[in-house]
Amino acid sequence: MRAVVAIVRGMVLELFRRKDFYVFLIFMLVLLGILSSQTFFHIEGISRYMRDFGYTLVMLFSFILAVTFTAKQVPSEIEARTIYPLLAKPISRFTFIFSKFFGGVAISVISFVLFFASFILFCLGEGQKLSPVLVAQSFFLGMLFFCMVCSMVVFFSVFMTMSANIAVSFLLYFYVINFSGPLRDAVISAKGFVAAMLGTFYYLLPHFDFFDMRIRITHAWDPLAGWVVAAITVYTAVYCLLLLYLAAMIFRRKKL
Amino acid sequence: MYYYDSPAGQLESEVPFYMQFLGEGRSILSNLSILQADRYFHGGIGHIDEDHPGGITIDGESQEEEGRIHEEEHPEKIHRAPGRFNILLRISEKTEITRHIHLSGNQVKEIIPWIYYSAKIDPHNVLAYTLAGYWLADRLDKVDEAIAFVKEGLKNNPDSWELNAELGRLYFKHRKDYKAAARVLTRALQLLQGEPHDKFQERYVLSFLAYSYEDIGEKAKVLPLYQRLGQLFPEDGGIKRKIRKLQEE
Repeated sequence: MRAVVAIVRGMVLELFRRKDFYVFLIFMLVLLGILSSQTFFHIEGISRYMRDFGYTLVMLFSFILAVTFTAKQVPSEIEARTIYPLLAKPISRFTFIFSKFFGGVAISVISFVLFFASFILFCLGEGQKLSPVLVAQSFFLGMLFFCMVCSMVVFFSVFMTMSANIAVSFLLYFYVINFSGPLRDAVISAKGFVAAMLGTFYYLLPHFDFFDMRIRITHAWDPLAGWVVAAITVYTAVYCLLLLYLAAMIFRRKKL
Repeated sequence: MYYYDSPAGQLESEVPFYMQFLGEGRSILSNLSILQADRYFHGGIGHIDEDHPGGITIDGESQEEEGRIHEEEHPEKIHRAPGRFNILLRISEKTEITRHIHLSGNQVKEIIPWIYYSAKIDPHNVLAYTLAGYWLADRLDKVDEAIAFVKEGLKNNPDSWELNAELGRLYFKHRKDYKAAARVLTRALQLLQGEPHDKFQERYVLSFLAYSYEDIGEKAKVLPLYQRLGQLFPEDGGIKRKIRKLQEE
């Protein structure tokens, strides 16, 4: 446990030591400032496009930080040969993988919390009304989303290079966000062997779309039903555990 | 000074520098911005024409539907419901918003930024200016702003019949300035005749032009316009009656 905490702490310190986080935070605040200062034909109270941009920036910047920080953890430890003293401590390879996952989640959640808080404060400062339930759900699902992202990136990092990992993670994210709906419709309407194939593919994909609250936040739709949030939580836990278990299994057999 | 290679002859320097890098991609981005306005009008959800034929479009052609909220879900989603134990498909279905709404009243202002950006990204996107004209003047009571914006569009696209027609409509309907309306609508008609168009587009310009001439008392100019309308829509009884009345006067 102490080893896990030490690895996580090291990763968090790295987040604050590097400039990426501050650059994203300042960039987001500047963009929101520019957007809020825009006026359109002397019409007052236009707010949805700002919430849309704000939420998108929060998720995008946190996602970029989560992927780039987590993706380099395992390859850089191997490349710099710092993994040997770590494993000699002794830390099992299983613990090592889980520590990297928790470290990734910690830095993603810290960035997400700060970005999200800035966004919400900005909206409130602009006098916008936000449903507390929607905000709470967005926050909770955002944290689950980063658990999912980090588990996926850690899984890829045990057999991919850092750049391949980042590229695949981004592609998967944009694919799932944009094409999950049509894929679901195809699964439902397909029959026989095609349905089985499509269904398997659908179940294997990480469903980032479940966590996307952009439209609900922007257009003030109703919050999700309680059972849906609970089901997404269980789904995230199962998916993350499976990916981490697989990652640990692959890493255990990997020649270092 | 370099002139943008287009019929409108807009100065390239008038386009923001960060947009100049996009080249022709500006046109795509501008149209995406219009689509985004349409999504906003429908509460952030893509508009599926087949799901409600005759429903509202962003240009407000079906105004009778304004303000209505359709509580029903898209029919296709109901027919293709996932199995009860297919949990991922059920979650996906529940996280997706399927209700169909239209913004109403003052809420339609939320689409304005996207239309505005569409015109700023591509000043040759005529649709952006005509949409802005309609929504600002007819729905948000911002007539001066609407006219100024359409005029800006005309500066960038002086040979657009759509913009001349929209300006004429705004003068006619909101300013009651029938002389100005007749002037720009005459120009719109000239431009329209110089390019391929359908009879409904021609009717749009002819009708407003005819009403404008009637209101400024230039009766002699009204009859040929109605006669042309009669040629376009020979089965229209209203036009026939109007022509007979004008001939008797």
